[in-house]
Amino acid sequence: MRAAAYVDAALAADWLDAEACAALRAGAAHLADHDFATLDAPARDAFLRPWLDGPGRPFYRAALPLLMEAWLGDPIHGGNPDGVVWAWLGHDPGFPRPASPS
Amino acid sequence: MKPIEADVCVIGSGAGGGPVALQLARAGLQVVVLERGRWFRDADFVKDEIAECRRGKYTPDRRADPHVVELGRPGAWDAWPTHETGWDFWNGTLVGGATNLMSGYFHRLKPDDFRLRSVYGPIAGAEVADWPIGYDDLEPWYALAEREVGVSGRAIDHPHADRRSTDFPHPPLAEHPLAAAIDAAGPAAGLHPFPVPRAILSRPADDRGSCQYTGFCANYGCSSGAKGSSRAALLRRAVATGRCAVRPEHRARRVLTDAAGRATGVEFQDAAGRTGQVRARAVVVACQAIESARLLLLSAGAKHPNGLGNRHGQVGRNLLFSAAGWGLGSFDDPALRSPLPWVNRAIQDGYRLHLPDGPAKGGTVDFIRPHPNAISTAAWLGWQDGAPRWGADLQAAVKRFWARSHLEFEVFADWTPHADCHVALDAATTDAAGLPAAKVRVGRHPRNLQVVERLTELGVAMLKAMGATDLRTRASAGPSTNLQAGGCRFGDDATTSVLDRDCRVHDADNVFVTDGSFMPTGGSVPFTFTIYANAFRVADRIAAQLGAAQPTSITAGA
Repeated sequence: MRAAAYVDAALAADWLDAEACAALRAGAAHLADHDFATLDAPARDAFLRPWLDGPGRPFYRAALPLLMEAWLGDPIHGGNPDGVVWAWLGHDPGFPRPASPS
Repeated sequence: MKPIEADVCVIGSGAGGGPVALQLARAGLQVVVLERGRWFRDADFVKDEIAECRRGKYTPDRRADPHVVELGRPGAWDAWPTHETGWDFWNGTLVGGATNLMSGYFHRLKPDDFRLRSVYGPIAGAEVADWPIGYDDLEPWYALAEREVGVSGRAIDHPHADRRSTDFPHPPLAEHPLAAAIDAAGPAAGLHPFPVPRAILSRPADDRGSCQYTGFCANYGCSSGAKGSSRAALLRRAVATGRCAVRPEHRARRVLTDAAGRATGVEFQDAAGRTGQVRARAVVVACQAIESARLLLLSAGAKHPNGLGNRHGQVGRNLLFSAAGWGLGSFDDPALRSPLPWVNRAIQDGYRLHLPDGPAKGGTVDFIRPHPNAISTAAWLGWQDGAPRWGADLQAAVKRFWARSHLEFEVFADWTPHADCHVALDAATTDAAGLPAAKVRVGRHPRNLQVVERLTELGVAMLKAMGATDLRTRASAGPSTNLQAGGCRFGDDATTSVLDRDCRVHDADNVFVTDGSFMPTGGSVPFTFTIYANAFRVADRIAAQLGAAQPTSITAGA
């Protein structure tokens, strides 16, 4: 869903508050330290459960809205390419749709 | 910059400003409307959750235009700039104001709402007061507002029905099958659901399109003109008279007064940062309750050393919000699935309650479909009983939510007037124009939550009678910051109110306040319709005072 690029863009923009930026950066570093990207699905869940219930909670708070934006936002903002998630979900995004980000 | 000359300067273009601008322009007066936000047209409004709902497109950046919120309890108040909190008191800074973004539930107040103190008596620790006018005084203006704004509805007989002098000007909107399910289940639960009037056109009228049933209504501007915003329904026609000029991106800095204390005009700052003046015979303040109180406090003058109309320290006092509750139930019956957005049912069986210490004012429960915003819904589903839910579990939860039919309810109850709920200036916190910000103390009376909890039980009773599953509820002690009123009470006693019964400042007879600030008590429905109706009423008084023709007879059609 181009979520990583979406979060990178958010970190570079000016609307995200400093606390959320810090939580995202610290969480990303923690995930990288534990080679999260190389884990299989059960290993990811086993890693995430205690972390998100504890010190990783601020990361989740900051990351969840951004990931949902990347997942379900209008494709003009960089996520949800061609509305593929809307189609999977059967979601009607309404009309008129935006022509460009504003 | 040369002063702009006008008969009337209206500050703010939302529910309080639009009716005045339209009526006074119709009466032949020259009107200038100052609006600090931009002027969007119907075609500018799109369905883009990220831009429209999540990035504050229609509200100022709180870092540049701050509020300060004071939270705590007597003797222990902590002050926070709102941008460091989740609080935001801005609701719609654009031409037409927050009416562009409303849902348009157009319930009237009931006769008892005008005399709560007389009917229910005082409440310990609260500052409840009767209104100086009654339902019969406002009823013709509700009727006029329904025609001018364009309200769709259907009057039925029920135990809490309003006395109406006229029928609704437009037929009801098409309804989701959940509406019929509510009607069918109500009697078994001892409840009397009735159709909710909406300020949304069900058919084209007066160059405005009808509802397009996309469901993205609350928090979005309307692209068809169907929503009865001040912009689409009123200001457009005011401008068409040739006598009303709307000046967007003009921030009022203060109301100017002469040695006798009367207003001479308004000082503003435009988008380029230039300061200028509108010179006018009358000034109308309608910036939404918090900002209107702030502007009066900023408008000190020779006769008003503590702020305009603040001789008795009443400006900013008894700020009102709405006490709120919420519930949700879900259905698997495919017959209850439909893309139609409107349920349009409410119950007022709890408008009068019997609490342990006696009869009490209750409120309204509105039934609605959940907002179709996907991101906020999925982000809400990302928590299960307070714990993170991610990956395949979250995908399944989202998929399941979209596959079912849901019914929400919203509780609207009186915000009990409270000495610790008020607006003041914060000299240490200034906005981008260098003016002190409003400091809002949010003191809550325990009665609010007590009433909301009782009304939430009624909403749950309806959901259960309908066979809903997975019920969730939330009764909130916190205020709904999108519903603001009070702060400049109207009344007949100048020592306990700011405005007289015509919403004229007691000691500045050519200054009027026409947003929700005038309300001594707020009722148990959204304020917008009452603000519209009252602003039409006050516009007549202003026209008469300025020797203009009567704008529109309240007995005539639009």
